[in-house]
Amino acid sequence: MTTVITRTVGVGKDYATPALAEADVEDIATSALGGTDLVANDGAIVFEIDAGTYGQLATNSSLTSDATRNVTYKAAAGSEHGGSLNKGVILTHTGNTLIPSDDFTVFEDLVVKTSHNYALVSGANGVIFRNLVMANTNSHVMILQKGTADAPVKLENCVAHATNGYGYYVFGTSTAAHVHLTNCTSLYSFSTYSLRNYGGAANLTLNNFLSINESGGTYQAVGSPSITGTNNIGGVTAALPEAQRAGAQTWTFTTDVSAASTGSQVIYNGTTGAMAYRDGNDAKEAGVGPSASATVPLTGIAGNARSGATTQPGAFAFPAFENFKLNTQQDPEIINEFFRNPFGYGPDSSEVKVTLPINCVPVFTICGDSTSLGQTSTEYWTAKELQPYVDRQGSDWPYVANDGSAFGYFWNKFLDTSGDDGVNFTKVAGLLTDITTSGDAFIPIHPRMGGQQLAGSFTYRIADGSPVNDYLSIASGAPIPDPLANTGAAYNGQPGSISPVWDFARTIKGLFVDSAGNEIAPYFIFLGATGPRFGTPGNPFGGSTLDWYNKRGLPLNEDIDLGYVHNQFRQTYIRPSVNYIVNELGKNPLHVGNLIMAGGADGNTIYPEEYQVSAGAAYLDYTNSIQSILNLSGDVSAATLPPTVMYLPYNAKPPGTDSFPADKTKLLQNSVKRVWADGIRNYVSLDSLFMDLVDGIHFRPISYALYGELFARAYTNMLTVRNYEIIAPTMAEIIY
Amino acid sequence: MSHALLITAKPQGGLTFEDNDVVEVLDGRINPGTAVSPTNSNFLFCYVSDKTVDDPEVRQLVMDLSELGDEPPVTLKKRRYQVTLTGSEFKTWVPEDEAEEAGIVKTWTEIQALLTDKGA
Repeated sequence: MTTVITRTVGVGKDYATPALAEADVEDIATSALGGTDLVANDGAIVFEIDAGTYGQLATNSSLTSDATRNVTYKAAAGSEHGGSLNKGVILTHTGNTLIPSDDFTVFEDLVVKTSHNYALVSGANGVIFRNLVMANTNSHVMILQKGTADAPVKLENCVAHATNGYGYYVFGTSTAAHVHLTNCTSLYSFSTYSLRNYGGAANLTLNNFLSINESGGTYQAVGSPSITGTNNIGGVTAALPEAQRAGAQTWTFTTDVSAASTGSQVIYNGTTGAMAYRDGNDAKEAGVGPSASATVPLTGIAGNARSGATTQPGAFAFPAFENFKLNTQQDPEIINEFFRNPFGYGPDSSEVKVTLPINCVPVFTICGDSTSLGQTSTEYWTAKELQPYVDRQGSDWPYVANDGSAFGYFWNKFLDTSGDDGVNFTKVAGLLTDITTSGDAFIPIHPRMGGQQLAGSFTYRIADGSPVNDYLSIASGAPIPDPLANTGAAYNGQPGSISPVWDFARTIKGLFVDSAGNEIAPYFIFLGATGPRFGTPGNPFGGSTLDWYNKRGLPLNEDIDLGYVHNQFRQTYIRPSVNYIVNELGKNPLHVGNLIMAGGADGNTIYPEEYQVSAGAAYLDYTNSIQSILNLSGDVSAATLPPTVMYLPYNAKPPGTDSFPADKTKLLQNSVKRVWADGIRNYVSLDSLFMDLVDGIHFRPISYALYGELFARAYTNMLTVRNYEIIAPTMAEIIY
Repeated sequence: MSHALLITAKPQGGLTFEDNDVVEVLDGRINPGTAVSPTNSNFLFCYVSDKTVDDPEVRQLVMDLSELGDEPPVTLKKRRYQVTLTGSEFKTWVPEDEAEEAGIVKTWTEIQALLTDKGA
């Protein structure tokens, strides 16, 4: 059995850089294996490289190697680039960057860049390049020489970013070249060709290649080279030979994710070169799969598995877009314990875990009202009120903006955080009303994600360890009674409001883990608005009504199905954020939960008399609507309904009015209780929280912590059931 | 500001580089590695007192020697430049703040006097 010697590369490791490691490789072989003949000594050497930026790597030793007794340079576990040009182990140099001259060397999960000559100059037999992202902004990305029929040069799952030269350049003149490209991608070769096959002794085997050329050529053959292979995607300009084309046709390319199918269209991600998972992408399964060809890699460049008789051409593979069972008490030990003592206590719901498959992202959708924003009267924006809230959170409280990534992420349509790393936030009404903006990324969650209530600007500025007094600009002992009015640079910013969504995320931290036990932070698609209703139209807003209402044909809603907030949530929150997870992150979005932090406004009598009656069916209309755009069945089939939690409309008591009569609230509560406690849907009561005594509608700051924690407990309790499945459906089949 | 750390190939050291080749240039604050820093390793060490790792002259020391203008490119030597460090003190790596006392610091002018350009 081959002895594998592993050495580490990175700061504080065996070697600080790959060049130092390569320099010492003969000594490693001699001292650890007995000599430089790896074949005779039946040994192999593996260098595991930490993420970081390094210089040139040229391999040129006296080692004797073969296909299994060889040297490997690979990214260490956790240091993979995931298909990105700017992450992981990056080799960059002002010249040729990667120059392998040793036969049978393997390079895995590396980024190789240059802005000068070639990123890769390969000049050895039997070399394997697997999962490499390469780029040259000046000239050709790589030149591939040598290789024999028995020991070809192999590239698998590689991406070439070519902006001013050939992507893949196979060179075989006086010395033959045998090169196999399998599931490789060439992105942007504007002025030249994705692929150049040069010389009468060049032999190229091309399978599942993806050449993305919106304006350049695909293939140039010079001097009668040989080319074989199938299922390759390329454009009409300088097209591939017909025998090598997927579907025996040429293809067109677009980054427009909403483009309709043409039968020969590729929709791709312009940053990474990955294909989009969209109906309009006709090439999703145009490649030959691993069950039909043993040469097809079983995983893509970002770790997603390939299977079956067809697959996506190019370096990337789609994740498995499958539903996943969330039940937390399926662990054999727990079940065994149950049979030993069926009346014993199970583990506390706060201690259970959900182990997610690779490349899954747990996603919560949250529709909210002003309580979801943590709204409270400004009279409570005092240290006396806020300090207990901060103290309750202990080390969870983030003193620095945007450092809540361990707890989760939220879609940034809700707040404008441009340019300052989440310190200053603006939430203007336009973000709600403007359907032309839709956010572009998930950003780390934090307590102030509620913002300064419905609209406004606020600053998340608090020094590490500072008491909340500093935060409220009253550290000097001279309290400023109205922090809202003091937003200048001399102050520490406005307190905004504390969202119970943060407390929900804080409470469930650690629930989702990967197979190695690493925590996976959930993603939140969250929209909160003031005073929205479910059962009836609410305040006029943006040409419709400011609510989650979901009926056609009523005033202000004659032309659309949905209230303005509801429509916004579907169009400018859920759709773009799901697209981001699927086609930017390349992961499977699992709809692990649906939180409804709204509903109290349905009991408000300020709305027209004829619309005051609400019922549980209206809440189901909302969840069904979310299900419908996800292309999933609704409440009639719990098989695809994620666990859902809402609050019972509570007894609001605005001073001096009876706008929330107790009998209407009671009616609403009963309607929720009747349909909302079936094991997949759950509810929480907020009537025990400390009310905001100024407006009689909202809660005091400390109560918002309990608000979020109650939702978290109601959610995790549902996951502990054993006699039926709790399903998180994939959101990838969303209707665009 | 940290100094550049030159790491060269110890003569007859068994590295894949030629003797005295400049194998790597690092930021002086970085430990070159647990397999590199021991005195009995195959490397020699010298800090450059008036250059940082990002100075173009220093970066030039880790360029290869290639035939210019040819296609395909031909790498004649893994390194174009050699710096010949004589004296046992250069066999021992020490952190940057101890380098002066250990006698392994030179100015760029002094390094230039030890420089050999294989392409000249």
